[in-house]
Amino acid sequence: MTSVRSGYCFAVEFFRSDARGTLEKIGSCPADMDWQPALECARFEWIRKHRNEPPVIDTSGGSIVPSWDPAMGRPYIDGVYIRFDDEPELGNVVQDGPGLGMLIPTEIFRPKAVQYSSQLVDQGKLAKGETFRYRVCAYALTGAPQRTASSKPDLSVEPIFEPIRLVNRDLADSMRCASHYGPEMGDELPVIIPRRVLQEATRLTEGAGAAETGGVLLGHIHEDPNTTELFLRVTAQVPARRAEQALTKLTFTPQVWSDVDAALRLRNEDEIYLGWWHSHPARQWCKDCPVENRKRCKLSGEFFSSDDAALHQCVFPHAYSIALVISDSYAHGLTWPLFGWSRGIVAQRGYLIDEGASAARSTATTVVTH
Amino acid sequence: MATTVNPDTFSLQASDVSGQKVVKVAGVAPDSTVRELVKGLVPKMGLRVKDSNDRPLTYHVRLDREGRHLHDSEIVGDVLKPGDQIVLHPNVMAG
Repeated sequence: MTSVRSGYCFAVEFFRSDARGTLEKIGSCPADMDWQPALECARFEWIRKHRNEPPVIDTSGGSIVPSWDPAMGRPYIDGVYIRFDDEPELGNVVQDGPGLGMLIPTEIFRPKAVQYSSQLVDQGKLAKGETFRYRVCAYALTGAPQRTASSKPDLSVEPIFEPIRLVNRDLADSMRCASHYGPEMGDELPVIIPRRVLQEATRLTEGAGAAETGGVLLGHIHEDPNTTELFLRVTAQVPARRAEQALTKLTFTPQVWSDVDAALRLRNEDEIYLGWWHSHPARQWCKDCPVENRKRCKLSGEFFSSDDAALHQCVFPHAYSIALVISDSYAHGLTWPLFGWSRGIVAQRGYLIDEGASAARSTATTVVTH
Repeated sequence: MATTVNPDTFSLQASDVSGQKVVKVAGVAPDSTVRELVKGLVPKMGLRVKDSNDRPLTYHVRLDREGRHLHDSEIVGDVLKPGDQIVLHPNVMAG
């Protein structure tokens, strides 16, 4: 179903710095990328900016175009542009020029670079723990651009695109009792989480002791009827009571998803899956470590592991999806960092904590149909 | 050469956990197992097939009509009907 046109293939080149700062190339490998998260982000940003168009996250017809590094020139890139066939304002834009859609920086290749670096360690080209640098190259494919998806003739799949379900709500009124938490938000989609949801998740975290715990975040995507700005508001968390819990991992089983579906039906408030939360009981992870190490340990920081990112991409690939972490560490105590999609990468982001019930009432559900 | 539709196959609707990714599935072979259906469907829906450690992810089919998860070994023609709605539920780990 993932179908993106790209007339290019990509490769990662690895370098180490010598004492004088000169870069020595130590290897390279192809980078076979999953562009779907970046496509979703680009499409959702387009929806946010074009509220007169149907809010349908249709990523078919997307294409990837390299942004050539201005300092190093081809084949090196400093990112890729994502555009869609139906972006009318791009018109006769020059190929490979600026303004060709959303620019995705090369940081999107970082997980691949880290993954491939382990092969360099196995080959003896890189020492374990050694710092390396990487650059990304793009090479034109000969012949017609290739579709990254393939299909077997016996089973066919046709996506059904439906508009995102939006609920009218006044953003300014929703923010009246809200306080900012985490990094500065910039132009990101505003996210509002009630204090009571954080308190529930925290109580579950404390109750789980030396085991990770988690749940699913439910809520709505709102549209401010005055400004047409979109924002998220979490309304509830559903504990993952049938998840498999361990000290350093939490497995969301099929039974968890069934329980969440049942909760959605029982609540009957037109909510959707907005994201998930889970705990990092770092205090438990580090309790046997020397006291002086506990505050310095990287596990005591606010982080999103590769397993966390994989779950987020698997279950919550939509650009608006969020992931809350309840972190309990010796260094920082209890903190509640939030993560979300940013140009195809999961990154920490700021949000608003609703400290009290807002006076605004949601009006009837607005579903945009064309 | 024109594509011939196998008259013995049928269609159904599948979605991901969030319900935001929905597809119409055609060409479902009634003599295949649920495991084979999942194996063919997951990549076509653009769902992740491996975890961060490159291990295959497992998905279970939840049949809305019966409110249960189907067993991998069940035969599609025995448990699914044309027009059924299924949801692919992954078994996935965070850390």
